[in-house]
Amino acid sequence: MTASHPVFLLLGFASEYSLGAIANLLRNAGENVFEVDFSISEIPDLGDTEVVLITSQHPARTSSIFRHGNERASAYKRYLSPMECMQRFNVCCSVFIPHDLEQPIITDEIAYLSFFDIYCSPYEFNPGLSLLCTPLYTGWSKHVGIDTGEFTHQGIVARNGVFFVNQLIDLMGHDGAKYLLDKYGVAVSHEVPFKFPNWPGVSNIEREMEQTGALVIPANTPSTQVIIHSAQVFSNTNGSVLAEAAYLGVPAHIIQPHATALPSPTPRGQQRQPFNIQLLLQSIQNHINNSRIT
Amino acid sequence: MALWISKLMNVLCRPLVRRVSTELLPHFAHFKQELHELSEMGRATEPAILPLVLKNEIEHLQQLPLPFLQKQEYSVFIGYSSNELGDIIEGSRCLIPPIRNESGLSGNCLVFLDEYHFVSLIRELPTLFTPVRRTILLPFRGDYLPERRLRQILHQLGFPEIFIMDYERLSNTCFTSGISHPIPVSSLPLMLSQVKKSDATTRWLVANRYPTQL
Repeated sequence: MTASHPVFLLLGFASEYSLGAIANLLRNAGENVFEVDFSISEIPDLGDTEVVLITSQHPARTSSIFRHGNERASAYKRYLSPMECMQRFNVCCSVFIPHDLEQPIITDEIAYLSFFDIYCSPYEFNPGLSLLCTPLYTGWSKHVGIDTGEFTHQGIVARNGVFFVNQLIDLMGHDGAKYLLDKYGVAVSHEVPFKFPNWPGVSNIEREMEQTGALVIPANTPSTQVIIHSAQVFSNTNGSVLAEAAYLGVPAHIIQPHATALPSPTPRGQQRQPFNIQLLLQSIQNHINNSRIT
Repeated sequence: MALWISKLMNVLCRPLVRRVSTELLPHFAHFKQELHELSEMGRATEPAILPLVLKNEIEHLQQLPLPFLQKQEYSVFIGYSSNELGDIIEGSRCLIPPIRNESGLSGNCLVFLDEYHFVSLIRELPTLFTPVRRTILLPFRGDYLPERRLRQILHQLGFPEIFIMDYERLSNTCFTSGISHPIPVSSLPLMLSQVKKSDATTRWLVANRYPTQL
């Protein structure tokens, strides 16, 4: 990779930015990496430098539709879609890495995979996608170095499990913390910490929850790290975290509103493979070499 | 026990099977024949498609957004009358339907001279229009699909930005209004700005691969 010296530009938005661990792997491999989480940072000016563009954004979500209805929120103003970034930079290789393990590609976004050279799939089975780009079975992008580091309430999570809050935007429209405590008070009474997705506006709900005595793990803690240390995982509805728990062999349950008890712990299953960064780097290099020949 | 039940079932069922084969099967055959005749009659009452498509193409050619097309490099026109355009739009190519292979679509701008060709193409050829690098131009009348459904299909095919374009022959100018983008997750089309009213008989959907307005 160092012979051509492209820089790596990693793109995403808030909890849909799932490339932090990969950025560290790339830096450890000696690559020049720029991370852009549009909820907190601007796109850099890279001039004509060759760029390997890696994104975990929804490929079909344009900046116009993203800002629509959120014009006043500053977190949304910086957003650029992958296609808009591809136009702006001298891209020598483009890679799509999903941020959602439950539904890595949304059906109506399949055509947009043809914008990318490489798709890093968490699963082995990728029917038909080779018609659009090169699918690689790299494994789940967040399954990297998850055993290291400590986080708030780690000991409690290991005993009692963790409650992941899904469908946050719906929740924000339903009176936030009050709604959650009313429907899922069982988690509070069993001392199960709550974990919210990292999304603009979530800190208000976290604060309200803590004021009522609920345990809260900061939203910016990597979810995979929390899952691997948990006795079991609970959630209010389907979502990527339940798929992540299954991927890591951690028991997972959906809790019904107004439940009075939590399910008993069940044995752990088998963990699937960690993200294969070598496979990705080799494929990027091959793509760059091939496109230079042609 | 099982043998006994089997014998009993044979005794009970044999008359029923005989009755089906002798009495009911001829009725089924007759019914099938009648259905076939009905479908033939239905087909006979359909209008011939070619005159209608040719009429539409002529109308659309009269309102072809020339100032827009002259700025495009490597346009491809699909239509029965597309050969007429070779001399008008420099560097363009023409394709006469039916299109059997998507490699022929390769170009910056793909222009359908009638909605019929677009609808036929997406039904008969599994394509994501990958060889089209920039834009699809499509006249719409709602003869085959509602305009919103057309936009949804174009969004699903990987064209996230769609304008509505009108052409004024007298002033030889094009103007666009109404910008449509796919709603996250569902990809349903959403108009982010208002569509201007127009008296034009032909309006064009301009679908872009890469958003032109941020």
